[in-house]
Amino acid sequence: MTDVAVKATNLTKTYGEGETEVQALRDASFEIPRGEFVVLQGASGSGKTTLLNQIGALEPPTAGDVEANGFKLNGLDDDGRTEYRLKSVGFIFQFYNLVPSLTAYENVALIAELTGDEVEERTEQVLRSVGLADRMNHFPGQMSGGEQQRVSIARGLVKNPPLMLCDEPTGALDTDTGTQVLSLLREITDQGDRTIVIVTHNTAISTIANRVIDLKDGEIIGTHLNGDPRDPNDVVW
Amino acid sequence: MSILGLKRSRDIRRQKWQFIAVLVTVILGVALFAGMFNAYLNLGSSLTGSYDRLGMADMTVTDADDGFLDTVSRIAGVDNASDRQQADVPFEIGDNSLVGRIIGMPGDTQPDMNQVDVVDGGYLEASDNTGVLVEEHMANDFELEVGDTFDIVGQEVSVVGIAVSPEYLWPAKDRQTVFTPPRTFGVVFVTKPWLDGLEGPSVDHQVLVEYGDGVVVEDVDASVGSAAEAANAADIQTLEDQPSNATINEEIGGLQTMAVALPLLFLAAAGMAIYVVITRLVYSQRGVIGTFRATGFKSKTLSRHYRSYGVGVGLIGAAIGAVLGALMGRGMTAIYIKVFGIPDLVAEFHLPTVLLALTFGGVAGAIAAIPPARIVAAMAPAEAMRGDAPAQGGKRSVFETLIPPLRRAPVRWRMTLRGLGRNKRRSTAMVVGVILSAVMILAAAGSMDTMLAAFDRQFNEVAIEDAQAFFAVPVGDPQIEAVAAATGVMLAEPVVGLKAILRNGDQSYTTLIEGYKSDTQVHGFPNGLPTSGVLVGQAMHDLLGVEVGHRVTIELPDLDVEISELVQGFLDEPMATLAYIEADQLTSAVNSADETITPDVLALPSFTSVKARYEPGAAGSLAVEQIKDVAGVAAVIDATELRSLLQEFQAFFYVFIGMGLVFGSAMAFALIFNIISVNVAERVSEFASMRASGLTHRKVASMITGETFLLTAIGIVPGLVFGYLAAVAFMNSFSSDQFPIVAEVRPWTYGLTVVGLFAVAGLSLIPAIRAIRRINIGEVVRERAV
Repeated sequence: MTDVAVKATNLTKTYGEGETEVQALRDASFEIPRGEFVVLQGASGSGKTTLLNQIGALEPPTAGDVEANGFKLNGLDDDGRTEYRLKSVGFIFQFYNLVPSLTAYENVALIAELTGDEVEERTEQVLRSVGLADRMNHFPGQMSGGEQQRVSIARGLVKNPPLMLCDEPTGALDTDTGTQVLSLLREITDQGDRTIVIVTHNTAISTIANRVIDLKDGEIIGTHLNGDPRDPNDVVW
Repeated sequence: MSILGLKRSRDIRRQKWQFIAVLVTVILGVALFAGMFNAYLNLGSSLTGSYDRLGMADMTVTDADDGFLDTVSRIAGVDNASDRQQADVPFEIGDNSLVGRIIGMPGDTQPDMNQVDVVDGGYLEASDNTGVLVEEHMANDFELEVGDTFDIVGQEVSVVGIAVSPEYLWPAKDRQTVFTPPRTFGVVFVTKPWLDGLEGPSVDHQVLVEYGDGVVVEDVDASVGSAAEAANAADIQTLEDQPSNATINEEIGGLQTMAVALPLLFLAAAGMAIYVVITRLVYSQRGVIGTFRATGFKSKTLSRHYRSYGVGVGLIGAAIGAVLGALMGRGMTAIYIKVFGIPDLVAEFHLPTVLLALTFGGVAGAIAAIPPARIVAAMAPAEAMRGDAPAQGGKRSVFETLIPPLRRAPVRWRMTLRGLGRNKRRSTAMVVGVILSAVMILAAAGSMDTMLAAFDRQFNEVAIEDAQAFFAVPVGDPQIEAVAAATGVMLAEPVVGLKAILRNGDQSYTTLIEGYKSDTQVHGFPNGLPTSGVLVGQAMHDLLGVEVGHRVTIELPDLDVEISELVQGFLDEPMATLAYIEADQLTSAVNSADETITPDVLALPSFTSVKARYEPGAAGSLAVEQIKDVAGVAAVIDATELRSLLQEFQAFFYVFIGMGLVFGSAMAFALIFNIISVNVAERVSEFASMRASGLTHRKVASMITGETFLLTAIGIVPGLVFGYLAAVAFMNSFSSDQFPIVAEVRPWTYGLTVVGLFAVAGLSLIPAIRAIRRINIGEVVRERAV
C-alpha cells in the first residue's frame, strides 16, 4: 500500500458540446497523501464538485486518470466503478440523501449489509461513534439536520473506507451544527489513516485542513499545506 | 400564447412519455365509447330502417280461428293486418336433403308486410308457379343461382331470384333453434297458389300485424295477444320475440352494455394517471410555484394553470378519441351489418355521442387534476420556494407489524415494503389500476371461458349425439333400426320432438318438448330422465314462475292437445330452453288427453327424429351419407358441423374479447408505467446516493421491481374478485332464454390473468429500470450542490 491516497493526472472533464460545451475541469494533476484532511476550495462553478465526482468515480473523466486505493478509475466500467465506491469511498452529501422510509439504523445497515457480516454490531458501533446511540430508531423526518448529517457520515463510515468524500457537508447546517460535523470528520481522520476530502466554498473551513487545493474556472490554481490545522471548534464563519 | 401556456406546453414536452401514456388511455377510452356507442346506435338505426322499408310485422299469429284477421284489424293501434301461409317441408337439393321452410307470397307484387329485397334475379311472377325466391343464406350454403332447380316435396322448382328477408337476417329456424348448421335449414318464398296446391305438408296459417306510428308497442302487443289467445292461436310472436330479431337484439344489447362499461374503466384509469402525473409535476415545481406566488400570481391562477394540464390532456385525448371512435363506429357498424346481413347500412354522425365523448374526456381530466390543483392553492410561498418538500416522518410497514420476523429481514426488503406506504395515494392509484385492468382482462377472458365452457357442456354433456336425423313425417322402429345399421353407428335412439307452449297461470313460454328413452344415451341429463313429469330449462323458472313440484300445462299445437305435468327439475343447458319428458309417458299423456289422436301421429312406435352415436374412430361423413339414404330422412345434422357453425359465430365475438385483452393490457401498461416513472423521478437523489454508496443499479432496480410487483399482487386479489363479478355481469347481458349461459371462469384463466398482469407490470418497469441505469450520479450530486 502506497502512502498516496489519490493521484490525479491531467484530469479533464467537459460537459456538453459545440456552443454549449463547458470545460468543468482542465488538466488537473495532484496527489493526496493517505490520512490527510483535504479541502477542495473555490467559488461556485470552479469545478470542485466535478473534481470530487472524479475522485469518487461518480462520472468518467473526458481525459486523464485518477488512481485511488489501488484502483485505476479510467479503465473501470460501471460495475468496476460501483465496486470501487463500495470498497473504497464513503460519500457525504450536502442534503444527506437519506432514505426517508428507513430509520437511522436502517439507513446505515443498508450499506453495512453490502460490505460484510456482523451488520448489527458494525451499524450500532458506527452510530454510537457519531453520537447517535439514542437516535438509532428514528426516521430522518424525526431528526434535525445535524443528526441527519451524522447518519450520513455513519453511512459512509460503516464500510470502513479508506477515503471519505464530502460535498459541502455543512452547507445545509447552522454554524454550531456545522462545527460539530466538522469536529466529527476531523476526529475520524485523526483516529486512523483515513483520508477525507471536503468540497466547500467556505474559506474558514480550509483552516482545519492539512491540505487545501484551490480551484478556479476548472483549474487547480494552487495547493497549500497547513502546518498547524485549527481545531474546528475555533473556526468561526 | 401566454407565458403560463408556454410553460405548460414545455412541461408537457419534458414529460412527454408520461403525458403520451395518459393521452393514449384517454384516447382508448373515448374511442371505445364513441365507437361502440355509435355502432350501437347505427346498428339499431340500420335494423329499424330495414324493418321499416320492408314492412317487418310487429306481431305474427299462427293458426288462429277464422275471423281473427278481421278482429285484429279493428284493434286500436293496429295499422294493417294480412294473412299468409308457411310450411316446413322436405327439400332435395342435389344430394342434400333437408327440412326447409316455404313461405307463400303474392305473385308479381310484394306483400304488405315482411317484404323481401331481391338481390339477384327477379321477384316471383304470378304466371310462373314453379318459380321460387331463395333466401340469401340458403342460396350461399347451397351455392344456388338464378336458373338452378331443386325439389320441394318432390316437385321441381326453379330459382328466379335470391332474396334477403327481414325475418331471416339471422337464419334462425325458431327461438329454440337459433343456430342451424349450413345445409340443414333454408327458407324459400313461393307463390301463394303453388303453396295452396301443395298436398301433404301441415301448413301454418299466419296473420301478420303491423302497428301504427307512435303507438305504445307493449299496449298493442297485449291487446293483439289477448285477441289471439281468444282465437285459440297456436303461436303468438311479438317482434321482440321474433327469432332473428331477438338474436340480433341480444348482440345490440351486449354492445350497449360494453359501450358504457369499457370506456368507464379506461377513463377511470386515465383519471388516475393524470392525477399521478400532475401531482408529481406540482411537487417537482414547488420552487417555481413558490416564486410565482411571491411575485404576485394569485393561488387561483396557479391552481387553474395546473388544472389545465388535466383538462387539456383530457380534451385533446377526447377529441382524437372521438374522431377515431367515429371511424371505429363506422367500421364496427359495417362488420355487424355484414355479419347479420342487414340490408340497410345507416352510419350516421351522432353529434351527441361526440359531445358526450368530449365531455367525458374533459371531465375525467378536470376531476383528476383537482387534488394536485388544491395542493398548489394551499402552498405557502416561502416554504414552497425552499424547493424540496420537507421530509415526512417514516414508519414501519403494515407487513412488518403483521409479520414481526420481517423486522429482521434485510434492509433492502424492508425498504421495498415501506416503499408502498411512502406515497399512499400513488400506491392506491396503482392498486386501483391493477384492479381495473384485472376487471377488463377477466371480463374479456371470462367471457371467452364462458363460451368455451358452454360449448363443452353442450356438446360433451348435453347434446352427446354425433348426428341427428329428422324425418319428413313421424316414423316407426324400422327407420330407427336402419339408422342404427349404418356403418360406424354405435347406437341410434328415437326422439319425439314437438312444438310446445308451457303455461303456468298467465305466464306462457313457447318452446320444444323432446321425448327420450328413460335410459337415453344420446342426451345428457345430470340426474337421469324421470319416468314421470318434465324437466325444463332453467330460464323457465323465471319465465313461468314455476318451482320443482309445480304443475304446468303443456299445449301441443301440432296435435291440438293439452297435457299437464309436474316439473321434476330444472336443467342448465347453454344453447336453448327446452322441456324434456320420457317418450312413453308423453305418448301415454297425449293419448289420455285425446283419444282421437291416431297412432300414426304420436303413438309408439312413432318418432320425429333419431339421434345416433358413432363407434370410436368411425368416419362421421360416411355414417351421415348412409343415414341420409334411410327412407323418410329429410335432414341430417352432423354435430361437428353445428360445432363449427357456433365457433364461426363466436369468432366474431372473440375479436371483441381480444380487443378487451389488448386494451386492458394497454391500460395497465399506461398506468403502471406512469406511476413507476413518477416514483423513479421523485427518488432520483435517493437512488443516486445509494449508487454512490456502492449499490449496483441491479440492486436499486430490484427494489423498484419489488415495490411494483408487491403493489401488483395487492391489486390482483380484489382484481380477480371484481373481474369475476364483471365477467358475470357482462355475460348476463348476453344471456337469454335462447342462449342461457352462465358465467364460468376457468382456474387457469385466473392464473393467466395473474401472470399477464405481472408481465405487463414487468414490461412497464423496463423504462424505469433503464432510467435508473441512466441516472448520472455525478450530475444529480452536482445539481444539488449549492
